[in-house]
Amino acid sequence: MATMIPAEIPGAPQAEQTVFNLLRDDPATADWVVMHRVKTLAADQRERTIDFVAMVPDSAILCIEVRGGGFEVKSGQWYALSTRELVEPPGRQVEKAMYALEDQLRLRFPDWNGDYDLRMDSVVLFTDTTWPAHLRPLDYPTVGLPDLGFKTPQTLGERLQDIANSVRYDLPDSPQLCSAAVQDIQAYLVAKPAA
Amino acid sequence: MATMIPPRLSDDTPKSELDVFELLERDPAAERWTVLHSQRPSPAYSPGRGRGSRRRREIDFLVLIPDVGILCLEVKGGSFRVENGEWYPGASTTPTEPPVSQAQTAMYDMRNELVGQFSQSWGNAELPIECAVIFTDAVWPSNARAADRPVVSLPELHQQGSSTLAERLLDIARTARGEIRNAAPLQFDTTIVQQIVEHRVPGVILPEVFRPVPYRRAEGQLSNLTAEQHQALEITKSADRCLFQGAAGTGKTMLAIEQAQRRSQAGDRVALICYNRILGDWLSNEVMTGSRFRFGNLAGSFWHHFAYGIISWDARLNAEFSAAMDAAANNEERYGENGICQDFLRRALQQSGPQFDYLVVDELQDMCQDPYLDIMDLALRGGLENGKWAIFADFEQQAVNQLADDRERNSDSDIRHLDEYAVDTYSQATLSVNCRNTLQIIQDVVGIAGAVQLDDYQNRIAGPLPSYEAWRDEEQLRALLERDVAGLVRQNEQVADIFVLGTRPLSHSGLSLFGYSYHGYNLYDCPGIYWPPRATCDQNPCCQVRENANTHLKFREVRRFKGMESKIIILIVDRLTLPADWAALYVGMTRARINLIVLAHESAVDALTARIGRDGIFPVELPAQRPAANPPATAVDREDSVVPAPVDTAATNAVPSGVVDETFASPLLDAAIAEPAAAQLELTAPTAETPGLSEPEILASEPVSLTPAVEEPPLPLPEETAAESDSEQLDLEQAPPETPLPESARSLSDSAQAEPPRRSILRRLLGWLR
Repeated sequence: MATMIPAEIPGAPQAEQTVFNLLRDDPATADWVVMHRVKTLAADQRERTIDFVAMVPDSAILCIEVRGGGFEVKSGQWYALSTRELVEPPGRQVEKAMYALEDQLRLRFPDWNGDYDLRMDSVVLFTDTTWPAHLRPLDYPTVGLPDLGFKTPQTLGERLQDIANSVRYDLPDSPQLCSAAVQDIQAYLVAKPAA
Repeated sequence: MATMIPPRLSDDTPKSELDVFELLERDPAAERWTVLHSQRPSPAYSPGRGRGSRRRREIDFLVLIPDVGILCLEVKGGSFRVENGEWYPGASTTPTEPPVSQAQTAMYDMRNELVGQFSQSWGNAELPIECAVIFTDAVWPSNARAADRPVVSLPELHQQGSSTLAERLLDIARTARGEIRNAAPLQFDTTIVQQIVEHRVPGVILPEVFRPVPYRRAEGQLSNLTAEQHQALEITKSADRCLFQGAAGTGKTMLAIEQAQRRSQAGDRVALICYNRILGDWLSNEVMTGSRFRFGNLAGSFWHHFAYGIISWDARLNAEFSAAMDAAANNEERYGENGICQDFLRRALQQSGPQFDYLVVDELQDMCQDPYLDIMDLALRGGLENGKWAIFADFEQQAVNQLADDRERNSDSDIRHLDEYAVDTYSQATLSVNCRNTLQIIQDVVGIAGAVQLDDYQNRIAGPLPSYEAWRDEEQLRALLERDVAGLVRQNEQVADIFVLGTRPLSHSGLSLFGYSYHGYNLYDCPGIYWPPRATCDQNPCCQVRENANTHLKFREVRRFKGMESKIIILIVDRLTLPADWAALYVGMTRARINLIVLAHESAVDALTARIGRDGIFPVELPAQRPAANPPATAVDREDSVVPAPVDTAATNAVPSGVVDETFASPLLDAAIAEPAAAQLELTAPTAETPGLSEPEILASEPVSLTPAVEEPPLPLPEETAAESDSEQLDLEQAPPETPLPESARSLSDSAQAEPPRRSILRRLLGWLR
């Protein structure tokens, strides 16, 4: 039951639509604010888009990259299974975009002092595939939708909540993402022009 | 030349890293090196590092030098200045972590990870690893304190001209090796290089394929394990032997996979088997993401591959087996219940003894007979009586058309076979919550299965009503399939999500592999979802079809599709006379997750309607008799339903744009094509002075109301279509005149003689819209 911004995403790819619906309808996402397609401008002046920015109150901000369909990986290079086209390895882009967003937020909210006051993490979310057990995990928290309720009796919201909480665990002394901060960030991201 | 992984860097890689990549790639001194770009040590092996440090902890290049060691390179482009001991990049006023410190931290983390990962095989030998910083545009700042790790400045290296970058790095790596004080340095040979590469980079030796998970994809709600399934898994924790029975769609296969994986992860050597190949292939890919049968601690496949795998353990026996199979006269002799395959499998197991700690069997009802149970008994430690197993079966579905007594007897009979091997030593549980099909599909299936109560399913997913259509001959069947595929594609469904199932093999189904396509998609008799194994993907056309699932329409006989499912199923039913036909119908219908389209031969219409218990499930009643030679257009026409895609396209292209563009863009027309009866009613309603007419009456009156169509200018048709229409007309003329036609069929037949039938359809549609 998250607040979704925008309220609908017509025309979005099926994978994003699936995630959007799951986050919107999940009771575990109550009080969350989830924004679809947030654009950022990184230090290298490249514009990047974060599929979903989920603000989890009292926890952290999660930048989510959604990956639908199947993949083939040859020598570390990722190809879409359906088109055979080379695609970006999952996670890198969203992480760069997350750092850019973090920099923007720090600039906008200079009152947030300290190195780690803004707890953020990037998450890769596969809608159609699972991560094979024999492979080294990605460098980022990874969620395979087919695993949810299958290997772990969790909803997507519950799984993301765990990930957000683990960011807090990493940084036990940093302040929480209070609801006031969520509102500030939401207002800023909604108002700011596309980067 | 070095092996660069990945072979090319992405466009947004910093220029400094691209420069170093290029230098190493083309440097002859780097021969036999393996260079991995952008490697980040796993935080699991470096406790205490928060996300803040993770941001920096990345190795730009991890260089693996056989017989020497590992170099972790930190590449820095641009200029740096040092003020009061702080490092500043370029003109920045924000200090950054000193490059050497970055490189050193990342190196230690990588060392921790590799030693942690391979400690069992490496023992206490010390890993030769070193780090270095490469400045691509600058030299070491003069006011910085001396670096305590090696530093390479490319401008200096270039100025000196004495060595290449690779030569310089080799010197550094060798020096590091000399510093190892441990008496037993790791022999950093090519095997270890390969180990590290396989660990760090997916898909180096063989491509890794992440396949979409078919049964839990996209529909969201259908994906989660039900509470009942969780309970079932709990049962297996306390019960060593458990038989789970459940109707189709209750998640038996999901649980089988889950249980196999759990036991495998717990250290058991597990065999996961089923009888039919398509399911076996799917299982093996699910659990092993690769080879079809592997004797690690989890093996999964269909029965005969299971046999091949076990027989191949003994080379001598395997050679004997191959010779016997070659000499066999037929497949029954090879694969029959007491055939060569079974015989050699038994011999192999008698020689080797039980090989598995845990057995998971899916769809046991397909092989709950002595020859198969014997083998399972031999393969499992403790046998079926005292060993550990989880068996999943649906004995009901095999007896779907029998009377209750017969069904009970048949079901008991199968279980009794199992009882002979494990008398009173196993627990039983029933799965009754459907997690596959929509409520609408289940309702119709319940009608077919008879004894199964709807309450058993507690299904929570609603979907479209299953669609039923009747056909009389192969031409009609092809036309219906054409129309259905076109309709689905128009609704933005992916062809990859469609499976055409036949209650009989393709050769008996009325369809043909050759000469026909359906909305442009060739039909393909799909032998297996993951067949052949991916190693031969590029060479084998079957596999190319699989990889291009969106370019072909897949067909499979129902009995070979057991255990599988698809979002959309088009089920071809050519008869419903034998119990086995009803069983096939039941299995076929329950394969559909969301959309089910049943194309039934007219002889099956009455029986199907009666069983399902919904009147009018077939939208148009076929005439009772019709000359065999007649083309499909004479039927009340199934719609002229025969609006196949080629005609759509041709007409769209040919008819004057001002009319047709609008016409064909009309959703009403789309509706008319997709749902003829409904559209006709809707279209007639505003002008009809006969609101009380029933659907058949309206249909019968159509030819009369469409007479203005004769005044329309003839629509040009492409050559092929025109020729086809001509031949249909010819067939009409040759129809035996003495065969009576029903009124409705006759009237349409007359109109069809007046002009090619498909042209008349277009006229009718245009007429309706006006």
